[in-house]
Amino acid sequence: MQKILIANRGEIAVRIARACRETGVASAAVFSECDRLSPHVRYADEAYAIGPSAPRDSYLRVDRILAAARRAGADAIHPGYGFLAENASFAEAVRDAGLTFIGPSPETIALMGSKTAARTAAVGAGVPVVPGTTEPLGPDVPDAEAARLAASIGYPLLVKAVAGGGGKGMRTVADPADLAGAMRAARSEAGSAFGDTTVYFERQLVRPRHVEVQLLGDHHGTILPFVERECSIQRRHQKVVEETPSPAVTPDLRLQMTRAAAAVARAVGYTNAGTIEFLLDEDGRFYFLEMNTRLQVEHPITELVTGVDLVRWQLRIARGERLDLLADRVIAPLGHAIECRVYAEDPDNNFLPSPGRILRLRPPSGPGIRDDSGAAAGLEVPIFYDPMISKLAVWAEDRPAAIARLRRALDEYLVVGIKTTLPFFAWLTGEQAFIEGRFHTTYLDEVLKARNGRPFSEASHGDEDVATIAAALQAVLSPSTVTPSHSDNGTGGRRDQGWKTRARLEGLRAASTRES
Amino acid sequence: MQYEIEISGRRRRATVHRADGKFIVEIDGRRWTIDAERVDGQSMSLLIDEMVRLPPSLTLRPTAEALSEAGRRATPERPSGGKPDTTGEMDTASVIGETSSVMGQTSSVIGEAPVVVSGFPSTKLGAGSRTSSYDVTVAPDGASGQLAVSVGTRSVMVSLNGRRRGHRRADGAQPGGGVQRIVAPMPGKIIRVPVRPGDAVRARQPVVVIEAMKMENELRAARDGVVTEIHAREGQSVEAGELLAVIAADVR
Repeated sequence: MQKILIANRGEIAVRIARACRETGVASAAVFSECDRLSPHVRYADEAYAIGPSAPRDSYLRVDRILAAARRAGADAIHPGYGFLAENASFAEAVRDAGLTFIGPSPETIALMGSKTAARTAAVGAGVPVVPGTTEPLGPDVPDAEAARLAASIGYPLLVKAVAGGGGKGMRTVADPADLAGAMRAARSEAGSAFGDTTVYFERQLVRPRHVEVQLLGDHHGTILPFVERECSIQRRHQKVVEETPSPAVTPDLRLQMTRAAAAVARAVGYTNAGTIEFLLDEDGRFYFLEMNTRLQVEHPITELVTGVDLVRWQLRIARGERLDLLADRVIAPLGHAIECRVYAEDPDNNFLPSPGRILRLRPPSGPGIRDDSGAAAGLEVPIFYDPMISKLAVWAEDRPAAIARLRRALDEYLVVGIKTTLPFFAWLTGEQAFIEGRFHTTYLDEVLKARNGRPFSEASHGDEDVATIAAALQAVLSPSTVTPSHSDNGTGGRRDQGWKTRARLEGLRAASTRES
Repeated sequence: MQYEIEISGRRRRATVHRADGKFIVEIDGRRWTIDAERVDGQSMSLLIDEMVRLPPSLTLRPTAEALSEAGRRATPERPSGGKPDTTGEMDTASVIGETSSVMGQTSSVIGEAPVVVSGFPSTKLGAGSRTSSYDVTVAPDGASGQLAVSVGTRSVMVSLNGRRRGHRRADGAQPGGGVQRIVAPMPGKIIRVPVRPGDAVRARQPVVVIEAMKMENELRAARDGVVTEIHAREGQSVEAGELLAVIAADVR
């Protein structure tokens, strides 16, 4: 393996290019129109344009990505997460082109991509699944039959898209009378997001935690599970904070969960990096939820507590090397790690996306801090893609120290020009339930609802004094920067031509779901 | 130089003059001495000599009793604290003593002893009088046309000279009372319109749901009111700034 084409953008493309550089492999980036100046393009050894900004015209175009790989003379492709990462036909096309796909086989991706097939595989491996329907419900299933199946599972239940992910195509039903409507809504959402309207039912557990197990598998039959990640802090089914180890998992439970995860992976002949997601109930029982057949967004926290470079191992495994890590070592965490997904969203305005130009960016640094960022000062956060601007991860000796370090890091993190979720994290990490590790997958939605939009960052009178002083002194020291004409230019590019807006809208429609 | 500065609907008058390489900033009768250095076009490092607030009973030449009283009651005050609740009332209603940093011969109380200040205040101030360090950034906020001032990691919206610059706010609501105009904050697709003309809406009630940046986003009413116009329909594609709904003030 001499040159890897990275079929992705943003922070994960930078992450992969860094691993390439450390491994002595050349990296080739691809980019859409609006990403010409993105950090991943400037960081990689080579870069190739693959089309307009809308994902369906660039990052989702298999033909253009393969053409770029041919031009670059790349011998492998790393898909990152999102976009084509879990697209079996892309993995197959890469293989057919004679290139190495850095990930599992297309067959495994296809198998685990179907929620019902994945559940069957888990059951076959002796791993419990959340009670639910074993067969997918096609579009022609009569309402009466669906009602009968639902009743046999019990309410409340979830209607989930068989091809789903990222909370799309999913509905909660508490009352049998709402079942038909929820199925219609889930089907229509799944149809437009995944091109597949089949759904299935799953019982809704009471206040479960989301706990997942990272694993690596090589081509010589070794499957290695890692210490679990706790991902229960979610907003509308999207993970926002992850940590490892989980405050709810004892060493004994860890042994059970990692063994179960390895059993599922072994049953499907899994290779490369993947993650088995479980729901953990209040009594310590866990259930297989799904498998993600790719590198996960939150992989850095696992790297922090195990010292293992997962992306480097992805490359080594793809080259046919043997996994020779000690199994005991990677399930025994050293210290504690927490990650916040920093989004270009306004937490004080119902988390509305806040695209625009970043005027100033000062990420935190110092002991135990890792900021995987795809953003840069002077650049626009594009509206076409997931608005995550960075993953802030911290490591410390234990959980309280990690929280203190995270709060210190959040206090250092300065982003000017756009709104971000940083003030929200500063609030969350001070909440008693978070500090005590008492939370579940609906915790955050519940407390946000109870807050009813109360702002996360309220400036004190003292802050207002300093702001007044600052505005007056800015007017004295840099008068040109506070004049109206300058401020109008500050955001740049807001007034678009009609054609550009249309292209963006097409991109939005084509966009895949936000990754978990 | 004098500026009118509006924050959270409150107008303040700020006067700036230079003295001995520093700046004296006076806001509504309170004064600070500040060492201000530009970092770049938008950022400054401010070293602000702390203001000491004196109880109203104190005069410039207080009695010994008053002084020891002041030592117990005078609270050194950082212009900003790390937490929102670290400062008390700082409005013009409270009586403010002379600050420790005024040039010339002025008394101030630091701890239990009066300090006579002349020349460079920071070198003459008594023990325990802080000079606080702030990194501030002043940048235009595209959505509101105001200035976004970052104090540490907190952000304060400021209008200089009291003039807003004719932009709508990001959430489409106008500051203050009256009519609310719900506008699309970005290009996207209308997913749902849960209200109809004539409906009464409460503050924070969703009015239009728009899909953009892969997420459904609820545009909500900023205040209670009655929907008078709806220009959005489900499935419609809209551009940034497009008017989607109008909500009139709820007159009861």
